[in-house]
Amino acid sequence: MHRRPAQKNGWTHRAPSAAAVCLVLAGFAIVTGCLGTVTFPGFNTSGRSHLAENEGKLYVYFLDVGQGDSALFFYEGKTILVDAGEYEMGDRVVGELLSHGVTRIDLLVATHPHSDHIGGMQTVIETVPVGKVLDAGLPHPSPSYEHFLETIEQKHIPYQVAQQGQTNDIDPSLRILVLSPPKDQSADDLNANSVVLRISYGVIDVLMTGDLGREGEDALIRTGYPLDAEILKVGHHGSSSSTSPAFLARVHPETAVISVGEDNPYGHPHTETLDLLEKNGVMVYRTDRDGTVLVRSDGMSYLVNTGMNVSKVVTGTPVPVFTLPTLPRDIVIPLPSVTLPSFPENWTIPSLPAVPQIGNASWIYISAKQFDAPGDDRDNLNNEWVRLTNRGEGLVLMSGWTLSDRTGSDPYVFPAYILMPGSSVTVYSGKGTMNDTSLFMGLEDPLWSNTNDQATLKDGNGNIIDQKS
Amino acid sequence: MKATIDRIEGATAVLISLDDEAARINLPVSLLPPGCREGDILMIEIERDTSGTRKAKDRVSGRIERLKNRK
Repeated sequence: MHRRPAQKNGWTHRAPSAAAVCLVLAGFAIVTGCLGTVTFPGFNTSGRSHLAENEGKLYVYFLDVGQGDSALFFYEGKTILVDAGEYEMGDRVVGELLSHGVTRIDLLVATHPHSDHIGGMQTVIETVPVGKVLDAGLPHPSPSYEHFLETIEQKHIPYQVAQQGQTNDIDPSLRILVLSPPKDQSADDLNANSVVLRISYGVIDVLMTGDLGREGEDALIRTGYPLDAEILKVGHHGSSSSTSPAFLARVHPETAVISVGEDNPYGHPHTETLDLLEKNGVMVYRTDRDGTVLVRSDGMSYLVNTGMNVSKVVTGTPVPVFTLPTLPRDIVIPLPSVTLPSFPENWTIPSLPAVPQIGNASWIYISAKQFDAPGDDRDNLNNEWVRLTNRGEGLVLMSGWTLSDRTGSDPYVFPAYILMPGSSVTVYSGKGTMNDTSLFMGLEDPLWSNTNDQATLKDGNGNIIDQKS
Repeated sequence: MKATIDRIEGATAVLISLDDEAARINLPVSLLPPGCREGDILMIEIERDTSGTRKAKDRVSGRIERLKNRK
């Protein structure tokens, strides 16, 4: 199973090349400046329906509903709404639905009956027809939840209690797997019984965890269900009661979205969670700062948009309104000595056959590195890493290749490993189990010097493929 | 007034009025009766304490007077 797409090509590759150049040349501040040449058809303020002009793509809007959750999935004219924020946010969610021309919600998911997730449901189901409700089915005696159930009953909306292992077939290309609640749910803790969904399109997975707490996360890990996801909706608004290090390691997200209100009384998101995400190199988006966050995918790759705040005026603070999340955060602020990997001038977006070809070694380059792990490098060997990317159109067999520091002594020798076109692999200094996106040197001590080191990548014949300092 | 304990967020209980679901009250958990749990319905009585108000006002006025006349 390749978590990375075998062929991450097509429309998104236009943007990465431009974005990478901008990022490397001038860093974070210029990101906004690059945007003049990039257009986002999915972002519409004119009220036109984007469903018609963007068929065949998955759009996920993590709506800015203040302190609460609400996320909207569009795929091929199908609509999924997961949660609807607090009571007073119902109008905002409905407004969002109508602005996208939604006339029917195919699947409405209530992750759990807390008011910051289902308060707005009442307004939604009174306004927009719903195909089916998926609910945690926990008897919570709150007025919001009771009114919600009452309306479902009155309108004869099909109602299903979520249970681990269920799938949903609203569209054959969209795989929806229910990961929680478990079959033996205890009704005591509502958060622990949140409906957890893994929604997958092509090779891109989105994990929606509601307010699932650490115990629930542990239980989820033990089930053995696939949890890995490129995009994680961080549990419980970034509370430290969710997102354990073990859970984050299993999900291994590149991008995290925290749905949270500005200056909320609970201190969400908690510093502990933010630190953990940062330590793991996860790109974090927050609805309190970024407004509504849009993730768009063609099934092979994805892009994240922010800055389309519909609920409040965007302030002058520069926000990364466009980013390619597969590029790690550290490339955003490059060292002065970073060299730009050479892009062929006549490089065009290749249209690929279904089976990847054997590629050229020169397509591999060192796309990012972190020589200086946060904290003490010795305690944190897997935060020292070098990332390699195959920017070409064929797979490259890297067995016997080497990666060495400036001294050139004791190079790391690659095992039997294939880097697929459009994919990246991160080589960590410490120990771990290799997978499609991670290799481990298995060292006891740091390899990379925090200052003035240089990584050299050589092929099996000793030819230098790329260097980065 | 009746209210549900909608949820507990750390040390804060979030109550929702049964009469008006838009009315949410954040209350330190320490102020709730022992044994309260999520989903419990609470009876909340709020009464005006007119004599207490009068006494407090007199007390504060007295302090102001003392401060004004301090040499």
